[in-house]
Amino acid sequence: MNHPSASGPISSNTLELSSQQKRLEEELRKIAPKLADCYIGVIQVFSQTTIASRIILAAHGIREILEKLPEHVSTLPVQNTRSHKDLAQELFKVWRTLDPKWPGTPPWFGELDGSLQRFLLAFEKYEQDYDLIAPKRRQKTAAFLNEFNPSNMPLPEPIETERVSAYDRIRDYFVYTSHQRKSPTSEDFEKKLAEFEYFLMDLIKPKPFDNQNEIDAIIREAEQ
Amino acid sequence: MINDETVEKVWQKIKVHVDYEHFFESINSPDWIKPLQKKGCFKRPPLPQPSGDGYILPSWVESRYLARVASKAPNEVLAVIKSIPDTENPRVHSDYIDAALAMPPSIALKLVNHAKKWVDSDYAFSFPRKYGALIEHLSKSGNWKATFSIGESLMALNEKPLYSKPMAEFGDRRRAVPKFSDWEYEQILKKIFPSLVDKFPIETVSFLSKLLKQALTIEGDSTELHGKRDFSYIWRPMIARNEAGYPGDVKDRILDCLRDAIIAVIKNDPEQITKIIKILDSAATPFHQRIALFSLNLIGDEFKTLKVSKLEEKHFIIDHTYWKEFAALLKRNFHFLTTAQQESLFSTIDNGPEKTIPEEADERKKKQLEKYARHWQFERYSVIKDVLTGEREAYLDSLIEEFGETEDPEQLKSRFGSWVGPTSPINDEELKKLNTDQIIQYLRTWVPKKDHFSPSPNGLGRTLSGIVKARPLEFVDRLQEFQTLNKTYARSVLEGISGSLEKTIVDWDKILPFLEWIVNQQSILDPSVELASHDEDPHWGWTKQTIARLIHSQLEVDGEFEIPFKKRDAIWRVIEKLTWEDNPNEKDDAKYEETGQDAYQHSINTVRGEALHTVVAYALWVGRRIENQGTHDSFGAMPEVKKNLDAHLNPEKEQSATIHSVYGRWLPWLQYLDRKWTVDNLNKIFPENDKRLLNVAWDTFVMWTSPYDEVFDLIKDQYAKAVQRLEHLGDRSKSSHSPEKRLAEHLMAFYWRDNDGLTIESEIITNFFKFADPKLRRHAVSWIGRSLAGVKEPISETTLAKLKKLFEWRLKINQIDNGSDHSEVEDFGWWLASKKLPIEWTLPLAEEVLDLCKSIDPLFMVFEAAKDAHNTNPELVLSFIAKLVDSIPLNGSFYGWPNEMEAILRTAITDEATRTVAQDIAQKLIGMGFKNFKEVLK
Repeated sequence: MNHPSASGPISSNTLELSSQQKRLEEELRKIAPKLADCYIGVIQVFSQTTIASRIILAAHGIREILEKLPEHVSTLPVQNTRSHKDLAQELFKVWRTLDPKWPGTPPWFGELDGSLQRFLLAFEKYEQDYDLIAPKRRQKTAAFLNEFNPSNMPLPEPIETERVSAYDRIRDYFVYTSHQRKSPTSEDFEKKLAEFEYFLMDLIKPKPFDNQNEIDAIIREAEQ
Repeated sequence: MINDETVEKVWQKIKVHVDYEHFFESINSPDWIKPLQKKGCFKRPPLPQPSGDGYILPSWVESRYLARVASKAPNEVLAVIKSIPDTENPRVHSDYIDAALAMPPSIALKLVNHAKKWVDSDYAFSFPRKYGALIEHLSKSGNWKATFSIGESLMALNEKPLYSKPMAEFGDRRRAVPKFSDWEYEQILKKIFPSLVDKFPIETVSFLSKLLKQALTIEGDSTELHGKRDFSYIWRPMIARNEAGYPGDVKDRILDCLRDAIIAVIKNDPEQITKIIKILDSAATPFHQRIALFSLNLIGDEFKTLKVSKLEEKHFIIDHTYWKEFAALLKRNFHFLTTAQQESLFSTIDNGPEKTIPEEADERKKKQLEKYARHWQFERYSVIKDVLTGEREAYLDSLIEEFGETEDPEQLKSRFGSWVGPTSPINDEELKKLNTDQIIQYLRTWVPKKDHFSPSPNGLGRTLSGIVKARPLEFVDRLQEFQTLNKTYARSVLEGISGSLEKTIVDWDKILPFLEWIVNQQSILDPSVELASHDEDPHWGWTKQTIARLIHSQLEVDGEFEIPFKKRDAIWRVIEKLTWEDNPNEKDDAKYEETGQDAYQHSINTVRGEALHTVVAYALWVGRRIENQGTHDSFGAMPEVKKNLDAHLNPEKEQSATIHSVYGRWLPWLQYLDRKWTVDNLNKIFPENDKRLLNVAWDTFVMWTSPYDEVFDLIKDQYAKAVQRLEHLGDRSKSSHSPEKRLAEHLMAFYWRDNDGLTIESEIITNFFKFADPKLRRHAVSWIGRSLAGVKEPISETTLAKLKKLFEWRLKINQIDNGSDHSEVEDFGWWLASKKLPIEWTLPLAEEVLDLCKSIDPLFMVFEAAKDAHNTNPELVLSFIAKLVDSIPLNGSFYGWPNEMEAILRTAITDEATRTVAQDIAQKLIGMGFKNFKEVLK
């Protein structure tokens, strides 16, 4: 049997996809055909009950999709071209101008002078730039999730935090499963797969009209 | 029941920001406050976001909710607002104010310190009237300090330079301006302060008095020119109303409010006048003193001591600044003065104004100053004429004889204000009643006062022109008499005749000798005329220009009103003479070049320039009447024209670039008249060795003529050179109408018409797109689209194919090019909206444009076209719209065309083939914040 990538785009016609799965595949194909192929691969392999490691293989596929998806979202900010090494060298340059004075013999206890002030400012900048070149995982995830936001306003932080946690939980599940740090049952995996699909569809194709109808119902009941 | 669990349920449903907004906009119970606080709400108000040169001020649903429930739970909302970290965002502040307005004033008062910070923030003045409402609301608490503490920040004035750059004559003067619009400021003064007067009468007067002082201080002159005077008697002659002849500014608005406040306070409690005068005195400005004098005129005799004390202040009677208000006070209260006080006042008037006559003054100047002193006394004695006796009474009688009866000073309108144009000593109706003899007699005998604001010959000339236009023949018969009148009237009578020529047959035998006489007069400056005053013509130049225009326009007339051809020689004599007038000279040229004015536009405002244009008009006039017309060989039959045009192309005889522009302006007609002459002289019209003349001729040509095929054939190399010049031109195409943009239009027109077999491979076309900057390239592509939209006749398939080829080429080049500026193809919307090209071709290309530019213009027209195409090509249109919604930046421009979008989606949703796409688009739009599209999905 040929590997999908060797025989061209895989056809989903032979698979029984749910309508949710069909739409997710379509949306992934619009973003990047490779991701859609990978997703179909996941469904296919997971449906092959004869394959012993089907859950691990499927988890690998999901992990791949989650890893590659941000790269295909075109409007993601351009990566900072400076490396951590660049930042450190800039800091060292200022440090060296301070070197003869610090710590000195006898140790220097003078007031904050020009050269020390310059170093402190450089350090402050280093700290700020460090965050830019090495955003924390949470920040990265939040930025990625926000790429799909149709409005120019990001979600408020309390909700964004919960969305990021939900995403991380899904990702961790598949990463751990693919690394065999988890050994879920088939039922459990199927449930998580559905959760992944639901989350991704919500992300790529949000349905605010439907969401808001549901919110209205909650408010109506609460304010009665 | 609202609790943590309910909020948690909602949280699970919120996927995008609009869901969050929707939730906050839908809740109305204050019971949500606590559980929402627990969830982390009400902690992070959005900050102003930098955007281009300005800022976007995001709204905050959380503060909007608080404002909505503040009336139901004022204390809870107060506590939440106080706990929210500071923000600079005025939209959030606006919600807080709404909340404060919904609270009882006694609770809202607890937000005063916060509100002061809001009103002082950099962006506070987006909602000034809301702060006004807050002031009014707080006033209900009875706490004036809190009320005015907000007022001080809100109404404080900024300063702005009066002139864009300091003018040596007036110094670096400043203007007081509100922190927000004048109109909003006026609304607050008019609507909020009257209610404050009711609650805090003296405090309000004091507040407004200080505000006025602030305005006056800002506008205080920084030069010695005006000393300590505020010149308020010029910009505000009457305290009671603004009669200065201009709409007024912030000082006027504050004064009106202060005056009305004083009137209201005194009406309610006259005893308050003492405090009011004290407040006004303490401001220590002449203007406040005028208001004090005005206020004293509002009160009864019981306050005579206060009035007398002001009447005793000598500077009020001496200084013209106070005269109007002081005269009114003096007239009504003179009898309260003691005999000694009266004598003192008489003696002040007897001594005259404090204006000494300088020793070096000549006789004329001395007489002027003496007259001024007498007039000054006349005004003052007139006010108290009823109490004058003996010598003073007799003296006043002599003054009345000299100056006439004076008007009541209180009713005197300002003698100052804006000059609105020359005025006539006699109006239209009066002049119409006179016969020609009487009119000429009036022109001969009326003597202008030579006073800046008095009627002038120029004003009378305007009235005269109107009469002449209505009765031209009477004046044509009398033209010779105008040779001995003021030259302004000679010009005016010709302007009147000129205006009548389109429907009057005149005797040119009577007009031409007069014109010849004028053109033979020297255009030297009349030393008796003040040039800057525009009161009368300073030389014959203005009349000569009128003659050139008159002949030019009449030479273009064919039929019963035309100039008889037999007058050719006389007409030419007049024109030829004018073509050697001095204007424009080197100085005139330098002046226009400094201002960046177009040479052609300058030429039609000069005598020689207009005359040269008339030479061409003359040549065409003659050309239409000679046998070989249209043969491109006419100059043989009009050697006088050839000689004149040759002469003005000769740099030894003609140096003016202004005049050179005439050759560019009329090039198509010159080649029509005599192609050989034109070809022979092209190197002189576009001289390679003189860039200044070359540019003037080329720019005028390309700007002011249409693209003519015959001319293209003639000067193809000039077009090519102009294209080459683009490479080193820099960004001149920034202006909305530049020679480069016109060049682009000419070239696109020639391409469209297949002139000279131009294709996208032709060097001139490839070079144009190679050397033009992106804006210019965009203009070219856009021009074709706009022209397609404007053409009413059918366009051949060959032409359409050619145009399509050009766009496809440009799109492909941009797609290959990695550069960031692809705006060249952005105006493809015009092509699409023209509906001249098949939608099957335009829509897929429009999608490619969107991929490349993330934009397409003009959006509203694109949408109209898409809506019209939807019936026949629903899937194509939906695909395009889906791309559009995914591509365009999320901004307000979307709001321009929701109707078309909604119509398309509503139809698409009923069709199974397009339903899903339409639903997706609607969901996306809702997610973007366009709530109206919920209706489509319902």
